[in-house]
Amino acid sequence: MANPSAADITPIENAATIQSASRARPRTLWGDAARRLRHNPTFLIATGILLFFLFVAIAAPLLTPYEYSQQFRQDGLTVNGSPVPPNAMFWFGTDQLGRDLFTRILFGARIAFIVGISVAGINVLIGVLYGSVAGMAGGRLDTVMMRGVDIIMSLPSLFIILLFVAVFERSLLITIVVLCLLAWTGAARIFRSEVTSIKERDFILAERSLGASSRYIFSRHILPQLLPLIIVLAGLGVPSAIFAEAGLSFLGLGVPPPTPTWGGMLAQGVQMYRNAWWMLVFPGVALVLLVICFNLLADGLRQALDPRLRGK
Amino acid sequence: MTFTYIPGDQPEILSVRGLKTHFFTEEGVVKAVDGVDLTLHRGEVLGVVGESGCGKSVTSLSIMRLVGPPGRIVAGEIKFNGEDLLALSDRDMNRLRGDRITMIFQQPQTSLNPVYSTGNQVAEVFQIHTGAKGKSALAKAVELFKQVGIPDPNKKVNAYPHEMSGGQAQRVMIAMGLAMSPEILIADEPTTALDVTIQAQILDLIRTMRNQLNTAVILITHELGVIAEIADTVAVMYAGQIVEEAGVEDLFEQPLHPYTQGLLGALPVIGKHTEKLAVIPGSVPDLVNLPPGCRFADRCAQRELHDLTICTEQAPELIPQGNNHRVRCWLYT
Amino acid sequence: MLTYVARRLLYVVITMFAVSLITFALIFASGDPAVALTPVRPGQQPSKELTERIRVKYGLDQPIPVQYVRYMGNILRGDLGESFYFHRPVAELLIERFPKTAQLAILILITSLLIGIPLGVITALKKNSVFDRIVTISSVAIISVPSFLVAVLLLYVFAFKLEWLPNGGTGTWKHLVLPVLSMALPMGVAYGIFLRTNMLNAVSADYARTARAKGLDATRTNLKHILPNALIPIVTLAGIDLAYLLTGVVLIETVFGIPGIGIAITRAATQRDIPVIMGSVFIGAIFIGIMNLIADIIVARLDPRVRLGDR
Repeated sequence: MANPSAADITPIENAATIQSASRARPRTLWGDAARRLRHNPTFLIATGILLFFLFVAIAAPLLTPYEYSQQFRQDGLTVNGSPVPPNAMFWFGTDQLGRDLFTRILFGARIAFIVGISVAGINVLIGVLYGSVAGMAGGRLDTVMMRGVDIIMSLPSLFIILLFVAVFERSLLITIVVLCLLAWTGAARIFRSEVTSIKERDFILAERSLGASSRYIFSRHILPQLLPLIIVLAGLGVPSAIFAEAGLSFLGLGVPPPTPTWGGMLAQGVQMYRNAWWMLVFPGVALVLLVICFNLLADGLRQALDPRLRGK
Repeated sequence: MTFTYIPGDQPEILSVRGLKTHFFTEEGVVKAVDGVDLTLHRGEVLGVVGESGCGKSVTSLSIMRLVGPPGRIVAGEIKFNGEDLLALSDRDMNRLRGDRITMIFQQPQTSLNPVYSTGNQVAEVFQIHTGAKGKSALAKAVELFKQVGIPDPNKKVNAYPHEMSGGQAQRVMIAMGLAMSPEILIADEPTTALDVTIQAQILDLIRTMRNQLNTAVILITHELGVIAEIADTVAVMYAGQIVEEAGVEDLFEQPLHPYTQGLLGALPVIGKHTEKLAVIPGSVPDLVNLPPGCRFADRCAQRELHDLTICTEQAPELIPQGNNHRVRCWLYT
Repeated sequence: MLTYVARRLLYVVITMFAVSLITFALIFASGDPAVALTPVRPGQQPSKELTERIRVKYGLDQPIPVQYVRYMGNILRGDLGESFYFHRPVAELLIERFPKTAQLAILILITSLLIGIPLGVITALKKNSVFDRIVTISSVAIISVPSFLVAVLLLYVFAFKLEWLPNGGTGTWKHLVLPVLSMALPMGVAYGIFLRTNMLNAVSADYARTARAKGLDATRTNLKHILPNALIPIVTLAGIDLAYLLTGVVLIETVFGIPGIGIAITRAATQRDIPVIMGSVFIGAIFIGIMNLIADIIVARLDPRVRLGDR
């Protein structure tokens, strides 16, 4: 007895029915999430590739006989001084200075991981702190703090970043700092609305009426509920941080040379792509693959942990 | 002009037999509706009562064929004037919905589309089913607004849902439901989200419209008070099945099923002093792993009192008990 | 409405004021502001003599509040200072270059909505069809390619191999096709997926159920009842994306050699040409402020619940 026209109506109602109906089996958020992740092949493959990338980044010096800034003026450049294509000695070819591209991509992975993870981590941390303070405080302070976020979000972020880059000496640290400068606002907004809504729930109100302090309520009841969101937002933040760093390096304003960054290598690749495709293709593929995997990882985490998506 | 429903007097217009609607979820098959039989006569108000999750809403959505994935009607037939709704094409079913069978919902404000004016949304019913164009459809909407008692209808047709109170929004929903003078109106908890005083007005409106249009009403609710107020016949649902059905007076005077007795016992009576509110102990069974016997068995005080063993072993059938009264319980065999 | 616009413009002014404070503080935070303002040629030490000249010229030997007042006074008179690198007033430079950037940004935004909305509607209507599967699966890959790589890819295929379109520069509409598409393609796909998700979620909304109960079929319910609701967050998102959009445009300008504000600000950053960057920040903030205002007005048109001025 099929029901063809039933298409697409009332999953919400159904979900409610189902939740009340199948409460027999004990379920926890984390157990559920782990089970979902284990059964998500895309997530597993993406994680596998990421672990491989991470291994490559850490073990870079062991995987290549060359230094990343080593210039091979004899073997690494043709007679008229252009880069050489991939061969047995230089697996991914060389760049315009005769440096081994394979080695540079391995070391470039380090920068991608360091910047991606630290920027995403710091942004979420600032976001949680700022959003929680605003959300817990409520009232005037909340309004003022969120108005500040509105203002920051309406700034041309790259221009502000360039201002910092221009004033301060460029370095890995400054790159990380400037990428954290404005990007935490999105997370702050999300955490603020989350805290505000959790704060209004009955069990918190009950707790409060028993005389519990704000600090106790926050650390005991609210923070643990934010944890899934923290993980998901951090996961989503990594690829966008890697993107931002690549863009900055592409403009020649990221981590300064000779440190190899994929963005910087791509900037050179773009100049040379008609004659030396390898200079564009290899760093390009590395960057895109890493970002895809982080996106898939974040997506898997979101599906497994986001309470709003649970049960679907 | 008043219409009184007399059982057996009116032709049967809807008959549901052996309806099963299951939800196929990660946790297993949730048997939300598991073998429901219902009969509805012209002009009859049938109250369907039960706790949340007992399958009463899913039953009504199944009649409308509006159950979405992961839910599916897996068995049964729904005969409307002798025609099986489950065998109709999508297109024919669309034609029927909103015209001959209509439905209103629990949350009137969210059930209206926030981006269109309320008059527009009522007029849409005429556009769909009569092909009326904008102006004339809207004029009909104004007429309907007047009928369902919305003050200043000429102005209110231009109001958006968020500019209306819950009671007014439910009146708009009723206007929409009754626009085409349907044969059946399904009202799913139409008063639950409203203030008590407004509740009475809405029930009154439904009754008045029934009297005028001779529309049969299926009223889904968890409040026995609402049933007592408006229903002609009552079906009590528990865990996806009907456990008792009877005329409304019969049921309130002589409830047979222990669950119905429990429900009525849980109803506080004004002026009568009780030590504590009666409650039914225990909880609804897991609809994924249903017990082999009676679904109410492990909460049933009568079972313990009479020391029945069959209750946990074999599922009872609906057993006729006199004047249109039927009950699903081993006590009455 | 008018008071609303006025109030929003006031916010833009407050934003600019905040920006001026931040940039001003930043220049002092870097140590000696005169040194910070001294342009550098790559590989050279900043000249001491130039630093002293700048110190006097900008009155950096004065007390800080005096300097701030003077600095603000200049800005309010439209004097954004002089570019060291381009040897001309910053205001003039921006007026010449910013329209190109703004044009590109607006075209990208419109194109990505023109790509995204039909894409979202079709994939939502034909959920689980082959087309839907292709789009949803490839979308992860598409949004994972940075716009400057999309730009190079398009350049390679359409300018270098097929020679259909010019490989850079400005002039005709043909010059705009590739730069616009390099950003509008990934953004359009992202909007499409967002719209699809919104529409599929709204299928379970109460009002959608009502529409079905009225007798509308699934397709018309989607188009008439769900789509207008699902479009509202798209417009809001487009408004939020503006800052990101300007970032992307800078990269695109670099790839295609479009003489907009992007190339100027990138040069300025390498040369420490602070007045140009500060001027760009101001004009960028004004642009975003105005575009946000437009987005808000559109949202208010689409959503009767939103009254302009409520926020």
